[in-house]
Amino acid sequence: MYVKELQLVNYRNYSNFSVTIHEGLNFIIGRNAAGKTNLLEALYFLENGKSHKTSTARELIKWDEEFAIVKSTVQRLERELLIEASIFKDGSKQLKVNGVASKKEQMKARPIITVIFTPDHLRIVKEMPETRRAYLDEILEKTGPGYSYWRQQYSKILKQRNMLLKKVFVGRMKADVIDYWDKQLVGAGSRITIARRDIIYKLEERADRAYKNITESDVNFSLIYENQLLKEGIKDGETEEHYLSLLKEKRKAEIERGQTLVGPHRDDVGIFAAGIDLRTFGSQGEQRSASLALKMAELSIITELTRDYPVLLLDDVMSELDRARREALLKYINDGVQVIVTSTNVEYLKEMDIDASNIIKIG
Amino acid sequence: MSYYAGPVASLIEELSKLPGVGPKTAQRLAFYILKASPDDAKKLARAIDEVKDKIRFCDECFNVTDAVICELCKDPGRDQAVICVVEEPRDIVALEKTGEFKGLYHVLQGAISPIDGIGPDDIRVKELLKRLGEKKDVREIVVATNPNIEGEATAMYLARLIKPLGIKVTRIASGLPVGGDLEYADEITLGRALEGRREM
Repeated sequence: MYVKELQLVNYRNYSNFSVTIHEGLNFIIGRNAAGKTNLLEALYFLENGKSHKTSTARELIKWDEEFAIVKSTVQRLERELLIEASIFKDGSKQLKVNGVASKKEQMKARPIITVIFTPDHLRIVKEMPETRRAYLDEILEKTGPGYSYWRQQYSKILKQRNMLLKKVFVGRMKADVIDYWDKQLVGAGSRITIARRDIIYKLEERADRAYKNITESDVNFSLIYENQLLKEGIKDGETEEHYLSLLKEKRKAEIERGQTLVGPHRDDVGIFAAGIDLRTFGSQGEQRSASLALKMAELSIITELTRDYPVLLLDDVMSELDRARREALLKYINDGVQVIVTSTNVEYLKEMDIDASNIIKIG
Repeated sequence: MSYYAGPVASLIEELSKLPGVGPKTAQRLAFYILKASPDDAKKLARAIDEVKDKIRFCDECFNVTDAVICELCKDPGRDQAVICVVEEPRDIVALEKTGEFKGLYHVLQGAISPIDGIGPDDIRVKELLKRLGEKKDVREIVVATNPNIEGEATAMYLARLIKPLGIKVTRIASGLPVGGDLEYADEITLGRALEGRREM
């Protein structure tokens, strides 16, 4: 799929702005704070119904205005879609595709699929486990509404259960009530765990290929799903039961700490190159190459799962990469993928052969 | 410091305690009452007074009523052997509108929710057990708590408590809306419907 047109009304710093975008590689060039990222954010918003930068929808509306509109014409396989999202001051949103309003106000229709890559993503390998869980979740949420649902359920159950544990500790509630939350916890938790295991398995092979490309080596790259629930000899259908028994073992410790100690909220992904754990022992360069490889694997997997090329949004990452990694990244991207790159630096563009119509200057 | 004379300020304060009413709406409502005829304002005051004075909870089922025992519990035409357990009185209204249920009700007046500080002892579970102890002819308890995590936890709690008494415990089904096409159902709802399928 690819974006043909993007129009913003009262969105962030734009009163009324429209731009034509081409297939293939596009560059948005402008000084700092000119509003380059806002264009990518608007496309991300059409997909996710939220920003990748803020959780308050109000911030997306231009100062002193009542609403904002993001409109885009998107070619998706044989169909042309006119997507229109409105954001109102009270936080409500509406999505229309070819004039038909989406039934769900939460905008889960995903009329466009993007893969976004920001400088934060270069730290997937280096940062805390939650960054890596967020990486997995973002991929899985694009594959259908099921995963998002179970993740939401899980976090709600977890909140209730942790509160309950604290109350049991101070004697405000009885311990046997915990059982009624456990059954729901293991239902949602097991589904999340199995989905994450399956996606990591698929990511590993692709990330390995990308890592070899980026580093121009034949170093073996591997991912290990670090979780508490899966165990050799236990079938998927028996995960819930196993999870329950783990919770029973930890019950005393959980009450003492007022915290759920078993489940996918404690997952991590081990990232290894040549047998070395890059999270702790990788050099800055290795960690960056590995993060880049993971994002490339994401692009490839989403292409496969959605049976169409997603739109790749590269927000300010080019200037963070050295020439070799930049070239490896661009070489890896299939010709069919539309890429929208924001950048302040135009120097490296001179080295590349790019049509002037694919360069959008802003500010 | 308040900008309004004492009585107006306290009216605004009281109104803003209502659910869904913020300070601005409270202010608007207060000025509406201020402008209304004395008759209308007194009618509102009386209605609030009366509802607290006359309306109470049914001794049997804890539905809202103006008598000791509510109309539904008094009705001899209803099946005394089946009790449907709901969270709130308004759930009874919804179920009654279906015309499908002919048994009795029991209102829990809430659901288990540790975050809100509500445990099993804070809802009307003890009263339900007492009722089951007194009425020996109850065969089935239909648990109609909401299909969210709090409602499910409450349902599981009730099932474990009541089953040992030799009473059948059932849970209302969740799944496809009537008149809908399969292809339009989201995969969560469809998954639930599959889970709850039954033999024909």
